[in-house]
Amino acid sequence: MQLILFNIERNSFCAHLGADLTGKCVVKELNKLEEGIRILLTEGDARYVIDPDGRESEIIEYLQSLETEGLFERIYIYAEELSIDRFGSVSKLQHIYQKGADPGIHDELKAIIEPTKNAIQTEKMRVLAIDDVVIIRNIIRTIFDKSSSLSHLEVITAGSVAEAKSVLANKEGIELVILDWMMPKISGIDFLRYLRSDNRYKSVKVIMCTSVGERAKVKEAIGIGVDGYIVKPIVRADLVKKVVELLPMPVAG
Amino acid sequence: MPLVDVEAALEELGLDKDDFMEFVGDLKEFVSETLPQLDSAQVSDNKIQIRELAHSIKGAVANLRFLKAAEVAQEIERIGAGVKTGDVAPLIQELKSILESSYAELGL
Repeated sequence: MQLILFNIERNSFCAHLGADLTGKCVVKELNKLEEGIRILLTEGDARYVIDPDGRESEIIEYLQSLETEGLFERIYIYAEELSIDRFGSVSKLQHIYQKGADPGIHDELKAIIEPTKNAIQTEKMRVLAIDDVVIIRNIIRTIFDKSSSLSHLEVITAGSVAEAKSVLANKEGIELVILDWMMPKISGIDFLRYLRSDNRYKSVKVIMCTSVGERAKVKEAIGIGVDGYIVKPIVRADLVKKVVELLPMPVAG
Repeated sequence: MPLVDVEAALEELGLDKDDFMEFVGDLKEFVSETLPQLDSAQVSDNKIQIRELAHSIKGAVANLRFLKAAEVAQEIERIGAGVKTGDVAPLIQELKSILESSYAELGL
């Protein structure tokens, strides 16, 4: 993992990289570092961000503590104005780039940013797949893992409605439920009714993914408020298409 | 006609052969746990459990394109649901036999 410490100005360097990386502040990102955020952004003039509140020391301490933890292999800094010599104690600091020093730097940084850009710009939306058969849960998970158009989504699985209720209550950001109909104890259609009757979950999209394909049953599910209906056996293209319709990938920048 | 439509499984599920065979391994484990429960449900004539277990097996095999096994599991499920009358014991034996043949077809 690499850490990139930027000091950037709005609509200049960002625009050059083709990424809108503004709107972040150093404190916010520092707070997120421990959660695995790899790019630390500062905004505006480095002196303004770092010096008045003594944050330069704070950043150095963070970098040193991260080195101790072995979290980052390399640390990059891009800064227009920064008292560079004060970072000498950070041994993994490989490069210090200064704006305008080398046009090739932009391409190099862009290549570093690209894989991690989406991770910092958007929190991953979550999809909850509920099916009592573990193989089907794993098939759905594999489809998501292998589909680049679903890379903005994280899949969580549950083997029963009871487990699903627990997941919903404890995990934030679940935007879509993929729901089997016929399950022991509480059926998928009853769970759909529950979701549509509870204000907390009314906006959660639901795709029924079931072997139940009779027209009357499909109409019943539509009447309750299902957003999509897929009849098993699962076909990857159909599932991906339906998911993307309901949860399109956010446009970067 | 093959017992397992591997080509359809790979194409329609977007899997490579290794993924597929891993799922088949999972299926064998799942079925080895579920079939004895189905036997017990049949002995005790617990139609609800017969239906639920047969439905689970059907879902697992059908999604991996074990075509013949899916047909038989569906028949057991129908009987369990009371749609058709009949004895499920021979069908359970047939399902076991077809599953073994299916694994053999895949070189397992």
